[in-house]
Amino acid sequence: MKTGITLYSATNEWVTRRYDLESLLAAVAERGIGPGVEIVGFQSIPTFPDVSEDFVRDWDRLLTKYDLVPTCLGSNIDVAQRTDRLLSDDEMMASLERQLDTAHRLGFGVVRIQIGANERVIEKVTPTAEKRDIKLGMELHAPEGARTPAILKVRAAYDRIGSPCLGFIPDFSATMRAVPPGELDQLASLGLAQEWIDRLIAEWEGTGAPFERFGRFAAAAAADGVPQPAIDAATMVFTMFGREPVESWRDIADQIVHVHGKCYGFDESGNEPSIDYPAIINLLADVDYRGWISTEWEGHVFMGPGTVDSLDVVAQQQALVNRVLGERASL
Amino acid sequence: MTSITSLVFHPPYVARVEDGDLTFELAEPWYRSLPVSCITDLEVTVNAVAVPRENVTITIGGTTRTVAECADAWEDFWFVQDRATVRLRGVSVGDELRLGVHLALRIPYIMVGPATALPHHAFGEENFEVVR
Repeated sequence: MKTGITLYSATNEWVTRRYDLESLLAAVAERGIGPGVEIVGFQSIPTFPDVSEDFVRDWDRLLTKYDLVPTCLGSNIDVAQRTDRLLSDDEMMASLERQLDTAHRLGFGVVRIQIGANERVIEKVTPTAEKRDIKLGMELHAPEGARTPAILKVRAAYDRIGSPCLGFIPDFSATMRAVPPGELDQLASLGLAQEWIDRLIAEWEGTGAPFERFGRFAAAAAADGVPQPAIDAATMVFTMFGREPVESWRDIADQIVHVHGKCYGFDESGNEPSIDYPAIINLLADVDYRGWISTEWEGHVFMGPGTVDSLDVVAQQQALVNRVLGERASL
Repeated sequence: MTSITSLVFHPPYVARVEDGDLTFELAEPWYRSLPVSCITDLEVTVNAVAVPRENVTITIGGTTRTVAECADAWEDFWFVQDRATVRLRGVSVGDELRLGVHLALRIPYIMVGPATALPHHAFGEENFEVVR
């Protein structure tokens, strides 16, 4: 298992222009939180989905200068980019092919795809991925997981298409053990009283599809006069923080092409209260996963610019991963 | 604790008077670049008075459009590190003003219904210094 970062972790610093691409890569190298580098194409590259020759040259120069390795490029299919209608399957395929082409030119061996890529689009783009020697990794992100109905359909499509280029990217948001404390603080600041936070947690830990659980919470809270912005904000608890069992990652173990080491924050002992890192990292080691884990700090969804240094949190995540792997090696 | 996806204004809060128009910078309140066509509405208030939409333009990547014209610009992107320039015609102000913005976006890769993409609304209101 090799560690690295997705630059998406530094969203706060990126959007507020504290870094440009070179200074961000330099900071990653200086703090030793590479060497793997993942990007979201539409975040890090001004001309994405295309890149100029100059950009490619500069990218190569930066990776060499800072001794970093391109791991995964996050693609998006903007199915609703047009105002008049949704993109057709052929248009979605064309968009994805442009992004694969750019990934190839920048040296990425894995392209992250999302559930928006339907099985027809995946099948159409597979020959291009094979030709480019790129693995397509469907992100398994909350509220989906390895065993949810939508992903079972993708797994069936993968079986039918039968290409070695098709795989999955587990994201630890799918298999969480608690709602991140920072999110609960945010909801409290929006006026959600403690009794409703307790009710929210109880629903989150309960049974049923995420939207059913949110629906029960929202109806009861609205009837009791809880402020609507607080109820709306609570949607995120059910869409971004998944309750799938950690063991479910075993189902797709031999199809894992990359991993998103999601994290939100760390306690004084260096543990992630909302994600059982020891259980997940040990599982990945058990199934002999040898690829990259990109540290993905997503606390920026509730912690704005200036509240925390994103790269410091990334370093804490990697320390925890290495601690778990170290303890395992010493057994 | 305000997340980056709710911020349309980043400091310094400075508006300019140029050729009689008032201009200010707007940040894209999302974490990645979006097609310009995904700007679905832009409401601006100056000292709590709404500016008519026909008097508002937005310049992104060197191209100036009305809000209505953004709808067709689905091949152009608003790079997330770039600031758009909003220009208001027919607004007279002193040395300070209170600017309010409601920017409505369509998040084109997150579908919340068979033909419905996620709507996203960001609101900003700040006191701006006016530079002439």
